[in-house]
Amino acid sequence: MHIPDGFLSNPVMVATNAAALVTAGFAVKKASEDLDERKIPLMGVTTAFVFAAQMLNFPIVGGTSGHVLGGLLAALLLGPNAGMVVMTVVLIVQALLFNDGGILALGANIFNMAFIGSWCCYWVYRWLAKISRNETVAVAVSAWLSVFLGAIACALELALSGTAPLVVVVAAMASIHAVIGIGEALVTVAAFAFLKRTKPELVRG
Amino acid sequence: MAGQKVWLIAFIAIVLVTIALLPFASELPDGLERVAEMFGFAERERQIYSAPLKDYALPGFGGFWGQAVAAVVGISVASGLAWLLATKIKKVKRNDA
Repeated sequence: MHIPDGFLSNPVMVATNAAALVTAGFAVKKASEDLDERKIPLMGVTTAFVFAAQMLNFPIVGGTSGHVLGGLLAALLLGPNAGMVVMTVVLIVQALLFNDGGILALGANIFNMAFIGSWCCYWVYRWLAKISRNETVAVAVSAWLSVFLGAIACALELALSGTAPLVVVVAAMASIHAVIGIGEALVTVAAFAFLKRTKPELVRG
Repeated sequence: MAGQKVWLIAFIAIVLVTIALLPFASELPDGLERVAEMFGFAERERQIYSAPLKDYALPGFGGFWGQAVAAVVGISVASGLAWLLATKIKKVKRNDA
């Protein structure tokens, strides 16, 4: 769901870049306060994993593919602030080195996949874990939501830009990413369970 | 030092597994590309900047090896930047304290 340049109107680009600047700035500042120093190498390895996972598209129905975003996993391992920083770094490198996502659309992509997909969905996870008392369910649902809600935000930005009609673009993005989100949920649950068993000290309590 | 080695091994494992999986990665359009084709706004895409490894390929190196180089560069640069940033923001805090 990386938005290229040309899809967004000027007002939407200004708004999303401003939102990305504020939220990513906040995340960097908060991460500098709450990131455990022992987790610095983990931050590097998590970023490597997120970048790698986003290169590996898997086919879904209807001649379409998707890839894991990894935003919720990053937040589970590092906390929501460092998690958002990881996603932001990956999106910047993708745009600058690989033309994956636009330069002027970078703010929208950071807002959708780093702020919503990592930071916000981490708090959804915390809330779900509390009310469901089932960590696996909370991880699965919030990982699925990280893709689904990111796609809805992307569709809203396209509709607000006048690029596509609101109802149809939201319906199309939502239905496709509801399927891609299943892959996200499976990979996140598996990776989280694996790390929890092999290196329990990595997983934030 | 033994503790640090784990991270290096994890990093190398991620790079190697990614390269091994690249031939199996789907070339189909992703969700947004598909929707853009369906509703006819795909042609609105404007490239205002040309990246050195555009579309995860090395210029003049088509196919698998170009992708493998792109994977190594992308994973290393992103990971290195995040690690540097983490080190830097922690240092600022330590100086403040």
